[in-house]
Amino acid sequence: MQIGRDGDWSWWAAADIPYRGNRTYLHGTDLYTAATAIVTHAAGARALARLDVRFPRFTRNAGTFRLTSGETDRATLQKSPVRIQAVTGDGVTLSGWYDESDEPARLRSENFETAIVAATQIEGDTARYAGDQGPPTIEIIVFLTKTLLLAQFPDGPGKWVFTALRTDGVICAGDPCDINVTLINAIGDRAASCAVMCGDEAVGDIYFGRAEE
Amino acid sequence: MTKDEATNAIRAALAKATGRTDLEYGDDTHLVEGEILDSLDASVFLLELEKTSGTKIADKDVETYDLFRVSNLADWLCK
Repeated sequence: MQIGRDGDWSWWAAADIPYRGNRTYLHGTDLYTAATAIVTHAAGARALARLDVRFPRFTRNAGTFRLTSGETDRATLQKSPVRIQAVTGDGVTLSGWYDESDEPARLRSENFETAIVAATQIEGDTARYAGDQGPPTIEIIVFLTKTLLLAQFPDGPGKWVFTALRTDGVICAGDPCDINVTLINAIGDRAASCAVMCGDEAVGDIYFGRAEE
Repeated sequence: MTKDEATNAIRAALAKATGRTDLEYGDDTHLVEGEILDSLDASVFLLELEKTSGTKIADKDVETYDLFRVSNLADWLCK
């Protein structure tokens, strides 16, 4: 991924994100990883106090991430299928969006979903990861959540889709074997939120919704 | 819940779902058709509203009472 600067408080990132498996949209885990990369690059030595990445609709095409300090105007955010909001420990707000092109992604890749699902243990309303440390942390969190929701709410229209993740800082630290997610609330079988834990420590909330692809 | 409490709960849930506090909407606004919420963050809004209001939202009520219209939602929360 290339990250550049086009102003004192303005950055861009060109990420060649592939389609996963046979999907026709870019996967939230890849978009999240790219969003995290541009935010941490912009934050530099500043620690992140909060990171909020939302996916209000499917992202179909290649594009460029944009990040700026302060708030982004509403019209820009309305057009974007990815919305980023971060706050550093010293109070600097960063907001970002995805400038989607008309060009499809050039690449296609495998995904870790099958391996993570196989290593998921569900106990009541909690899913734990019991696999090795191979998959990226964000993928473990997302696929643990999806597996939990499919177990809790197997029926319903469309598929469960990752729609947002809010964390206290960057999630990648720590042992992925300690990751677990617990259902907080659900609206029927159309939407659900889960607490993301690393061991006994709450690190954020993840949101899923049902959507037709 | 009073009307003011319902209004505040809706505003807080919208801010959480969209990350914005400068949204412009009125009682007659339909939050999805009025493009305040997209299809997927509409679900985040309902989850946040359930948490902030402490009111359980049944899936069927969303359709039955057209709860994405602000006035309907406020009235429903006040029931």
